[in-house]
Amino acid sequence: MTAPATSHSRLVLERLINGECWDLDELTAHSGLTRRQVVDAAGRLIRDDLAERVERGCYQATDAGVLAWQRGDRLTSGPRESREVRRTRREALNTRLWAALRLERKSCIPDLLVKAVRGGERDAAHNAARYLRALRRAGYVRELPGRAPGSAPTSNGHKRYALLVDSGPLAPVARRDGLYDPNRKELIPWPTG
Amino acid sequence: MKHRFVADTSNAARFLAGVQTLLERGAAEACLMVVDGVPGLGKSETVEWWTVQNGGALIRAKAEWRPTWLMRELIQALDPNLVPPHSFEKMYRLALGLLGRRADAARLEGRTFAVVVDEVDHICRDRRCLETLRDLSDMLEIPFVLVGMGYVRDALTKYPQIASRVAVYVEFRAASREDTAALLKGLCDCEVAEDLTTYLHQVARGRVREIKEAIRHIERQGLRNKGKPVGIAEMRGHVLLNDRETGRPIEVRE
Repeated sequence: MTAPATSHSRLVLERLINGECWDLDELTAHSGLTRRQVVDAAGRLIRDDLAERVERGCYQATDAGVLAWQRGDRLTSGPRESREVRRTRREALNTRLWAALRLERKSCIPDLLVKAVRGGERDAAHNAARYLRALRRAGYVRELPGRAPGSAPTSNGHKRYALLVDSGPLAPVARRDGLYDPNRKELIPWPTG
Repeated sequence: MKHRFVADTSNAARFLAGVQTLLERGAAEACLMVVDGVPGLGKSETVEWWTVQNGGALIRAKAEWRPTWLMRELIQALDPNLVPPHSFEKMYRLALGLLGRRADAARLEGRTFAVVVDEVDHICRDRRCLETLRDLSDMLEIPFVLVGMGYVRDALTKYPQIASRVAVYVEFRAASREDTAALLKGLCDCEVAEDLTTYLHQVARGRVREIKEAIRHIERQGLRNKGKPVGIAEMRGHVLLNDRETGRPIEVRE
């Protein structure tokens, strides 16, 4: 019988419990993990109050982290407590942008933002443009010829988009390897070239 | 123009209050809300904004709608991946299943799922379409918001069994002077003086469409005014908006 795999969080915590400051490069070098794995593990430990970033370049275990290590607690990436309410992405701007696009079928970014923004979003127009670009790349929207008139006298107008693929109410998610559509539960890889 | 929805107007406030009444209704089966008003007052924009913000479903009635077409559109809005079955009975059961799942998912997220039917005047004399909407709403006690120009309120008097399901009526009225000021403050990129606000309120006759058109013209003058408030003096001789009835431009005079 093989020994259970040691979690990444545990490997990182093992380094942090000696009370010294560790930065991410050192943790990467000594844990046998990739830098990305170290970053994710450190993030989880901090989320669970088992580690802290004392200052830039200095990560340490908290008292709770030391205790968890001594007890041999199992450190997993799963939920720490039962979730009574299913987490929603309703608060995500992209969710509302997708809903607005499904409603309008053809629109420009400013008109989509009128329906989608709640106020307090950082750089909503920039993020909306990025999301529309991802949808276009995956073939979900198409840019229409001509532009919607802009309000500034020197404006070139706003690009207009038509929704080609309405797959359902859940907003597709842009990932590194493609566009994931939760309605169809499929990943549309980004086109090459 | 700023790209946001202005919820500070009296129509939007009345609509949101109506939604609250609908959600807190005493009779569980009174799940319908009627929103009406003449064109150009912002009904469609308001309900579309609300639908997007709250994850509801919106369908637009068509002049030639029959119950089967209504069902197909509703099913497509709820899940476009499905091919609606041929028989009305099967479509009805499928629609109930889809509505139930959306309502359950919304409940888990702490919100209420609702269906908005815009342009409902097209079917206000079609008893079968209205009854279909009532049946769907009744069965799962899901709120349906019916949006139209005013004919539906009169038409419902002929169908008391449907009228009894209406929990609240919301009438969209012409924007008041305060509403005009709120729209200018919320949407215009430049500051607008009080005298121009009053003038705009008079010539636009409280119509949101016209007010937005005027904002574009005011903003052009605002750029020339280098950040100072734009008033009647700055707009004198310039087009403010176009008259809806005649199509002729309305210029700012004294």
